[in-house]
Amino acid sequence: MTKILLLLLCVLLNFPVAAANLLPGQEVTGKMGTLTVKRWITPQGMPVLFAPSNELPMVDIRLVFDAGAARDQYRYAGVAKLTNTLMFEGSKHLSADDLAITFENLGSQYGNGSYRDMAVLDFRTLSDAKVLNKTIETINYLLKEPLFDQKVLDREINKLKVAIELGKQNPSTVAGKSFFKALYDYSEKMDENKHPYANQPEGTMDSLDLIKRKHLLDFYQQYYVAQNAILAIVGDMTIEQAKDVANQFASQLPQGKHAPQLPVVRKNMFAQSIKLEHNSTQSTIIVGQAAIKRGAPDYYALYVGNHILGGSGFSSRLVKDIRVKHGLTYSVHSNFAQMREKGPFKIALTTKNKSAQNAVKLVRENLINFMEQGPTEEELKEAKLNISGSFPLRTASNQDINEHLAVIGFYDLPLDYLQKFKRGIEYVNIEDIQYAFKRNIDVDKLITVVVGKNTAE
Amino acid sequence: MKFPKYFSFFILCICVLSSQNLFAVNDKRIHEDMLSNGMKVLVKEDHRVPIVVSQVWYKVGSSYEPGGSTGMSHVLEHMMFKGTTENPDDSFNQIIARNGAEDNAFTSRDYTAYYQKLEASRLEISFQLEADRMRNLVFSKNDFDKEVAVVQEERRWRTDDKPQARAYEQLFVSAFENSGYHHPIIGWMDDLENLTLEETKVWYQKYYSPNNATLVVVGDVDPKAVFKLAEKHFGPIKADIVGPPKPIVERHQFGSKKIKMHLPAKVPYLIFGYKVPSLLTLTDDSKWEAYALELLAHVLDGGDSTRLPYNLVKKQQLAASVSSSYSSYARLQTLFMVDVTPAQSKTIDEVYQSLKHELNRVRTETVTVDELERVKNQIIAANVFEQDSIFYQAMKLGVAETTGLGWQINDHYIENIRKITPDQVLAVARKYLIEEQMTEVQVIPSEKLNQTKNKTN
Repeated sequence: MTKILLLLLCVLLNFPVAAANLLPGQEVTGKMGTLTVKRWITPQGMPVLFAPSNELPMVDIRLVFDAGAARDQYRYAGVAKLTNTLMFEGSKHLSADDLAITFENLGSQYGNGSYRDMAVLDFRTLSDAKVLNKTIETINYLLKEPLFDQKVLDREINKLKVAIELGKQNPSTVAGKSFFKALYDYSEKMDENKHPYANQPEGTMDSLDLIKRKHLLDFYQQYYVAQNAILAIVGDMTIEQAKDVANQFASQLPQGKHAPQLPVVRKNMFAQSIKLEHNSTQSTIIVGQAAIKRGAPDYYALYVGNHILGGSGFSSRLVKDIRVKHGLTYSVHSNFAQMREKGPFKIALTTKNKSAQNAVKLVRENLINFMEQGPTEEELKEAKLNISGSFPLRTASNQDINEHLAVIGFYDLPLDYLQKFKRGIEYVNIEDIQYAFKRNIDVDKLITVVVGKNTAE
Repeated sequence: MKFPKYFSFFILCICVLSSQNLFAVNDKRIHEDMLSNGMKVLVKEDHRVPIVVSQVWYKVGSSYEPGGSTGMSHVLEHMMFKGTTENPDDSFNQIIARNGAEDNAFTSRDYTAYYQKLEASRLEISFQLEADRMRNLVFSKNDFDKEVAVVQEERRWRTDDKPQARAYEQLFVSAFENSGYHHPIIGWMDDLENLTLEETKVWYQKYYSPNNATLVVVGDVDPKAVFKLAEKHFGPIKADIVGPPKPIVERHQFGSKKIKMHLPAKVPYLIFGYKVPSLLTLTDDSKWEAYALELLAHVLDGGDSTRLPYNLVKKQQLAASVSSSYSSYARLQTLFMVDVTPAQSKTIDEVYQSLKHELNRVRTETVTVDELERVKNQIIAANVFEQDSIFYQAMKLGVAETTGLGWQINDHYIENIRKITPDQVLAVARKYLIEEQMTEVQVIPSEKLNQTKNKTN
């Protein structure tokens, strides 16, 4: 029964998302907010999205690799994050010290991030020719042949260990990790029974002890390659400059190939209630399960439905009930994470330990009630007004636009993805929402995590 | 998240970087008007995107509160979402949502502010609602009790279960004895428990009047039209007599104060602060000291190449993280803060030795011209980058105006930063980073976190 359902779901979800399918040399044009966007692929095979904007004398650059924790081997969890961090710690062409000093002299900024799907390198610079050129040159140096120095690696492993310990202090971090484990680690014993999303991005005390320089070098060679990268640029640059910059970046990297497809996420097989004792004044509660992947056809209906259930602050049912009516929490929200493979649907809140059981009950009641009865016509109308009315806010800054461009590139979405989203929302009706929730959420197989004091009582 | 909140640390951090337009000394895009009732209106044009942010700032915050009623300004901020005679119950939130507006509020030590970000043609909706709730709040007993419970949950979540947040709170409590900065913004749990609706209402009537407020609008608007619209909605509200807060001057500190907090935690932590002046507490001919202190904070921690991260984290590997901060825009005498999390298997004492050495260096040797130039370049570039956010632009006007500095100070910020010499940085380090004016708080992990697992399926 479950197998058939799984098969059916796969068919439904294997929905073509109108991929760019561009060949090197081809170029398409679209709009994002008030800006024009160009999209092309460099000769090395790296897709680029560029939106020129000369209102401010600055440029935002985001380089994304399909090199998040999902690409880690479970035993060596943390390699993806460490590789990402050490990209700023020196290459054969530029020492870490020179890199920091050069950027700071220019006033340019750099940052990085490593999540489950994506690994990100961010840069922000003034567009003044001297500053811009020097910044680009410095980025070229850092991309090419990074050192992954063992001493630096040891230091960064030590920092990750502190981060893991700090996470243990916080009931919400403990709950979040436990929730992910319940969703993606199907068996405590066998490695092959884990989905790569079970990997903790910062690794574990055990995995960090195993990581050597060699692992980072291999990871870089396989995943920090032109064919596995996306470049997004917004700012005060000409298209010719952007093309030149993209070619320069892509030629510093090994050409390589795109990362393989991730395994399909298994559906949760049974309901599970996990209680972890924690010496805190509040309990963190997370209820949910693995739900949809990015591009799922049900997404519009689920988005509107979730907006009404717990995605819109004071307008949402969960806030109106658990915060406003019962005064049990400061913040309660729900969301569907959109990842390459099925990401979590979750409802999360914190409340004083004494109220934990009651809050779990209210969360379940709200979800079940919503799934059985669906939203009201009034709620649907109001949700649509809010979503369409707030649309201009999504692309309000260069930074916002660059984030959208990176997502469009990374998940190979069409350039008019936001306009499509807006239209898609308009067509959603009550039945769509009910069906979509029923197809993707099984209330009999929810994972419930409670982390707090006296959870066993 | 769309919930009222306060941004204490956030404000402190951004103030370090506070500055205005890069090149212009008088930013011509800023227009000022005063309504007949004494309400100041500031409008800044930014026509990049068809949106606008509107903020109403009140001169009241936790530092105005009498002992025993701590947290009252913040509870009042929560009550502002609870309905007026004209827009009862939830209608404020409904109207906001229906118009696609993003809205929230924040309370700090020195101010309380409310904002909406929305499509530019809908600005009037924001004015209607803000003008209405400036004077016509309903204050139902039921709403008040529920909201106090929500704030208590907020306190548990924000502070009580986070060891580093508790240390930060304790630092201000211990450093300031009679100053209003002694109180935590969110208030003591007991004070919240005993806070009455009546005193909160009196607080509202005392401080929420047009002559104690500043309206800041930034976005795709015509200043003349905004002034007219402001007159229409805020103009009819009668001015009231609002005296300044009592001029409490913190009593002199006669020696260092050292506090050890034994908390359920895994990671030790150290935070300390030196009493320092703000722009407002300095006389005209010594205002440079505030700019020199800002630069000093950046010399110590303004990027990977600066002294504390470079020496303590990168070279000596004694710290997992370290930072320093100072806010020149505070209303009262404030703190120059440093905090550090030791690396794994390092103790506070080990890292403290090195930290003291670095602080001693800035007190005894002038910084190099290159080093200071690098720090200035970053501040100047950041000043351009922050113009990408209309919210941030509005925020800077609001803070400067509400604390009493006047928004024009932003226009001279870069000029004032540029003027500071290495000798002046040395002078403020010598004058203010002294043991006698220092307060420190350590987190000593002691109680168990109790993570035993009880799993039930």
